[in-house]
Amino acid sequence: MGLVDNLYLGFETAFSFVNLFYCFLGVTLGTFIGVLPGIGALAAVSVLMPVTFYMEPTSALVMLAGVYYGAEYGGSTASILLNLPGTASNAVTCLDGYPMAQQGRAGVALFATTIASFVGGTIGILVMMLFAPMIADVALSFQSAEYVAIMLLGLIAAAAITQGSTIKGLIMIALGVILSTVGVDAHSGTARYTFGLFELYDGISVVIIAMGLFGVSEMIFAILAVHSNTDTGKVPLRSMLPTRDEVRRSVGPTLRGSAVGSAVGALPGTGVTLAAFLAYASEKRISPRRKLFGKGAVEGVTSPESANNAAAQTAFIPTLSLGIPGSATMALLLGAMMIHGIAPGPLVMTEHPEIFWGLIASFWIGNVLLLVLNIPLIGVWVRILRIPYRYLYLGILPLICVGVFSLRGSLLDVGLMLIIGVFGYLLRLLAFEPAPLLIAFVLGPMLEENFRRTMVLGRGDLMFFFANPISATLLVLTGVILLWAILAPLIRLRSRPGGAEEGE
Amino acid sequence: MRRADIRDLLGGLLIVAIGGAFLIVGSSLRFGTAERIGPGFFPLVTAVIIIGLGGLMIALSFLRSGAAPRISWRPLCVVCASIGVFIVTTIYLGYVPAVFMTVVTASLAERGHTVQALAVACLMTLGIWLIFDFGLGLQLPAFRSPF
Repeated sequence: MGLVDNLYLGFETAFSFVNLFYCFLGVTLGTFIGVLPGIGALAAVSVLMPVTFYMEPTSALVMLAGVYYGAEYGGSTASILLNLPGTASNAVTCLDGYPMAQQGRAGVALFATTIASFVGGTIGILVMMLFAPMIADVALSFQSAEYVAIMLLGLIAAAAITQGSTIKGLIMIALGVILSTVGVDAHSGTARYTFGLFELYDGISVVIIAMGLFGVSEMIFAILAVHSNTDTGKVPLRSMLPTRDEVRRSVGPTLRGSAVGSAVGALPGTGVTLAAFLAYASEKRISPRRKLFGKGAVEGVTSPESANNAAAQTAFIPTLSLGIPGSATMALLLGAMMIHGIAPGPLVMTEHPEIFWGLIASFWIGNVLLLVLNIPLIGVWVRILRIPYRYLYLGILPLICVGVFSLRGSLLDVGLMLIIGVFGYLLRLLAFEPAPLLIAFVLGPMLEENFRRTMVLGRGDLMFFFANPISATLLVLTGVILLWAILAPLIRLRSRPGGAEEGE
Repeated sequence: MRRADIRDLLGGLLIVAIGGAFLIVGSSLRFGTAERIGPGFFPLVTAVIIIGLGGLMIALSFLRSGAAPRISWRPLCVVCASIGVFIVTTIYLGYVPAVFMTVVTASLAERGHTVQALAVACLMTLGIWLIFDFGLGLQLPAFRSPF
């Protein structure tokens, strides 16, 4: 099927009333939840995932995807107005967005963000449409050894790139992998770490890990960390339009940000946050106005925002065509697909073309909806942000309890979520990043299965991994990234005598 | 030599403990041979990696100094209590009343504001009932009689 035929099929699927409705619902809910400080795309998707279990797979994915990039957008609103990033990737937007708001140009910042996000998302979708099939073709030539190699690459990259030291990232990866072994091993029928509880035979649901690790632990952190809500004032439409000069200055950063975001988002293991930061950092380096960055430069807002929306879209490439999630949220979406009985991977495009292309078409529609929705609603979002967190968490807590309970009707699941939540709280207190754990948890079973297969094929010889050029290259690349991540901070440490460095 | 990053030290110790736990519990699993790896291979190798990395963390924590992290006990206890209340109430009364009890318990984290908290509790109870029982038709006990 040619590209045009695929698109036609996709739009046909996406424009069905049901899917349009769910797209709209997802985008709205996502933006709303993303606006709430501290609760990001990941939490939004986690909370709404159980609701989608009763829907058609396509509709469920359309809605969850809408929630996902809606939340990415919504997070920037809180970043600009309250200096509270709605999602981790919006932390970069705070740097210039909040100063702009303080200078009374909140409307301009919000407007610029909306447009930049739209452009970034559109470019990301284009990249996705053009390259996803190509990548899928490459993926079909992947054998088990290559899968192990690319999964390791993604995991190590995720560990190396997250905040904090690489060692902590690696620890989280390892924890995620070992948690994924809980349950009955499909291959041998042996129960692992189940303590005789038959509810654990199927393993721990990814939703429990996500809601516990991110939702519950976030709540414990945020409940008493009360901020006095600053007076954000009214935001009339007139004040939202940027000056002509600002528009001119935004074009370059937006396009460059989209490029960076598209590239970075497609790599497995990296995420939207990285894209935003890289775009901001590189824009700052090449901009003639670099002194203004951090003090309210419109470039400092449009660059990361277009990057993170582009990355949010292209993060679907490895997820849909290779079955490897590009970020923690993608891991959750992958889990959602599997729950609906769709095994993601190169075969999705051939076996379920209406899902794949319908999803892509819905991304288009979703981005347009975001644009239409958000410009008039900026005022509403601002008012919602005035609700103190002490009421918000009262609403979220029962929601996630019921959500987890509804997975299987098992209260053990809810208890497990609590345990994982407390555990997640402790980990975050000790400066660990929870996101790599989630990615590793989703990839763990696949990693083990492919490793086992490779060992059988290679008759127990570890060198077999290097027999094939693709897997050898990927493994070498993984090793390089690992070494660089470990050694780079050490080199910096040495060149700065007596400096206590955040790192190894 | 009192100079140490207490946070990383504690973190490393916790990690080593977790890895050790997985190692001990999983030691009864069959390890298998290199050619046909058994169910124990992956977990045990990963556990060893965890212990190793944890040990590295401990070692490195002595190169820096840092403060110990502080646990916010009140929110921690309140969240645990609220979820516990949810579980117990669901068993005896179904999940819709459980929502109410959970919100009420959770509101204890903040002194005062009881009227607003009760309002949120009622709102959430109604909302959850609408979405999950009335809307989605969840086949789970929304209301139950303890008698």
